[in-house]
Order: sequence, then C-alpha cells, then structure tokens
Amino acid sequence: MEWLLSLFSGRVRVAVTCLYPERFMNICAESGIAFSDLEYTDGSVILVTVSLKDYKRLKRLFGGRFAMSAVRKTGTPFLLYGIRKRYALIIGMAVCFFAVWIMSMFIWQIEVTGNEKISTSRILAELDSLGVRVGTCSFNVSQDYISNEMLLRVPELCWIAVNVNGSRAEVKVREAVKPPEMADSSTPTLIYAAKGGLITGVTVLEGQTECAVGQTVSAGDVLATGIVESRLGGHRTVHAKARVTARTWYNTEAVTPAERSEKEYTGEKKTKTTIILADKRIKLYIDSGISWSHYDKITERRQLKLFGAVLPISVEKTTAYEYEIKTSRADDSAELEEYLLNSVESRLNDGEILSASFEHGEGDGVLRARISAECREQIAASRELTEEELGAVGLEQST
Amino acid sequence: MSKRKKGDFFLEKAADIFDLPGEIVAGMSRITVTGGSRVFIENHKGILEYGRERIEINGGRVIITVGGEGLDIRSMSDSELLVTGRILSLNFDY
Repeated sequence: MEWLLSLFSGRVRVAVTCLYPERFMNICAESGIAFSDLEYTDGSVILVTVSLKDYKRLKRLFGGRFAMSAVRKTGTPFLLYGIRKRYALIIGMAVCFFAVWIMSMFIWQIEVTGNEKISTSRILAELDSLGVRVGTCSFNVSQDYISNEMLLRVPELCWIAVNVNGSRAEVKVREAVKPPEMADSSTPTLIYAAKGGLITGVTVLEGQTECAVGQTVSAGDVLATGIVESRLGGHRTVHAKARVTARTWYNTEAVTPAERSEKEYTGEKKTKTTIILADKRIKLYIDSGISWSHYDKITERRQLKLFGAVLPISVEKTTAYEYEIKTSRADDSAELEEYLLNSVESRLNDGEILSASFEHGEGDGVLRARISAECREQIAASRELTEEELGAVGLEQST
Repeated sequence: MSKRKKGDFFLEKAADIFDLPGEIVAGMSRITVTGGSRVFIENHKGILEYGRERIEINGGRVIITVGGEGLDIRSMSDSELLVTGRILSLNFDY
C-alpha cells in the first residue's frame, strides 16, 4: 500500500557512485531519507529507489560529493510532466473527470432487497411516483420523506430504508406480517356434506350427529347440527365441529388435439444492439424489420460498470431466432392420464385416490380420456344456521 | 563509557526490572526475523559494514551481524531497516 502511495506521489531510481556504501546509507538514514531496493553493483555504484521528495533532498545533500543520476522515474508527477504540452489530452482527461464527478451525483441503479410478496416493480413504480428513479439527482432524495411516504402508499410494508451511496440507491424493505384470523366459535353453525358419498367415518367434536357410518349422503345433506337439546329442557345452539370421511367417486373427461405443433429452430439468428444512455436509446443497426414469419426474441440488458461503479449506460442485445412449425402426431395418453389424476387430486379435500381406471378414445380431431376414480376424503363443511332452522325449534338468531 | 551510554545502560536495566518494553524505554533495537529470509530491525543506529554475505548493523550497545547469502537492504529509514536474502546467522557483539 505504501509502495502504491509512493508510486502515486512519484518514485525515482537513483544510481550513486561511492566507494563506501555504508557511509551513503548512514547519511541517508540520519537525514531521514528513506530508500528501498538497494542494489550494490561492481564499480562502486549503488542503486536505490527513493520518493520524489527525497530525491530532491538527496540531490541537495550529495550533489557535490557523489556522482548521482536518475536511472528511472515513475509515478503520476512524471506522467503529468510528460504530457504537459498535450493540451487536448489534458482537456480530455479533465472533461472525463468532470463528467464522472457530475454523473456520480445522479442515481443510476436502484436495488430493492427484502421483498418477498410485494413485487419489485411495484416498489419501483411507487418510488418513481415519489421522484426516485434512474437519473434522479441524489441530493434531491430526502430519505426520511421517501420512507414515510412509501409506508403510507404501500400498506403491506412495515419498514423501508432508502440509502443512497453515490450513484446507487439501495432500498431495503420488510413486509408486514398480518395477524392470523381468529376462529369464530360463537356463531351457531351446522355441518353439511360438501360432496355426495358413502360415509366411512364420523367424528363430531361439537353438536349433534345426524349421520352414521355406512350411510350414503348427497351434497348438502346435514351431517351434524348445532342445535342440541338442553339439559334444562328446550334447545340451545353451539358452533358445530365435525370431521366426516367418505368414499367419493369422480368421472372426468379431458381432451387434447390429435395433432400437435412444435417449434423447430432453423439455426438462423439476428442480433441487434442498442445502447441505452439514461433513458435515451441509441440504435446500432439500420434495418429494424425481421422478415421471418416465426421467430423468438430474447433481449439481454447489461449495465456497464467501471471499477464496480455503475455507469448510466446499458447495452441491450436483442437476438431473434427463426423457427418453423412442424406438425406431428400426438401420443398424449400418458399425459392425459396424469392430467386427469392431478385434476381429481386438486378437487379432493384432505383425501386420496383409492383406485382409478381410464378409458381412451379419439374423434373429431381430438384425443379423449375419461377417468373413473374412487377416493376417500373429508366431506364435512360448515355454514351458519338459518332463521328457519332456528325457528323450527323455537330459537332466534342472535345478532 | 560516555554519559549517554551510562544512561542507556540504566534504562535497559530499568526496562528489565520493571518488565517494560526496552525498545520504547531504552531505545534498544528490536529485531524481527521472519522465516529465514527477512530480518527487520527497528531503532538501529546505522550500518557499519555492507556486503552480499555479511551486514553489520549498529544497534547502540550491540553490533548486530546478519550473515547469509544474497543479502539485500530492501528498505531503510532513520529508524527501520529491512534485510532480505538467505539468512544463515545472526550474531551479537557486545
């Protein structure tokens, strides 16, 4: 690191002719001249590397006593001295530094982290409406104001921090966790069959059973009621809870075209490059049309960086891949069966398929498959007791 | 022995007795040997003899002799000295 700093401030390799190198070294040390990479060659010549500042002192100290010459000069001061008359280069460098300095005042990259359910695009859109977007001057971003406004605009957020570091804005968010819904156990309800089937098991936790194992029920039939007889006479209502399992049957059909179309890439491709400077697009191509009838378009966008710093320049490459549509005979019976099984499984309520049989057919340009599945599942569902049901036993609906 | 040397002697003794760092209290040389290729000497008083196989360094009350092959003074300032090369011996002459 010290070497790097001294290179920045300038280093000189000096050749000193002297018979007693120890004397030279001791005088240097006493005078506070630090040197490195000492090399003692034949002919009483010592080579040492000193900083530019020490080189000037060295010349003052030994200029008259020893023959001294600079062998190599490296570092920024010598580089600048070498180009001192190249005005265009110096102006160019100055303009470049100035441009980089100016550009570092603007936000060129916004990074959102910590969001899981809220999409990044929504957060970016809200930030945009508050004036924080690519190209915004970072001095105009009031981090407290943005954080407060964002919490009001996006209620799903519980915390947000907008940190602007140079040309990069880092938005850290934490999403709010909603409290769990409380189970309502005070409303009088009954349990009914959500699906028809043959009952194989009944477990009533609260309420009065209205069905039995081995009984066949249709959808809507009452399985357990929340109106129970009171020990003191009359009736009272409870929030009925029950678990009723039953064997159920499903018959479902699925169809798919008998012929399928597939993409077949021809290997032809066209790439178009666009340079995006902030929000201005510079096309590096002339003919923007593609004459192919079928093609896929894939766009890749790459943000340019310089030593890790984000630049307001992106390179967008759009590649079009030509393909032809080939028609082939479909043999999708296995896929249809899998689809039907998944379809039945998705309709089950905490249950399983016990057995399934398939029938296949073809006609009108489509392949058909029918599933006959026997399942076991939970069929109990609850609903509130109606006024009529309560009135039948002389009870009223509480509000 | 000069007054300066007498003072140094007492300071060295005091550093020993009170278990104080000698390089700070008495300005004694502090020598750090890294592997067999680097000798770093702090608080030196100058070089007495320089050669590729032998370097004699004034350490105040002691003369430090670094013996080896291909010895180089990698860097030197008024108080620090770094010798590199194949170090074979380190002698102290009082």
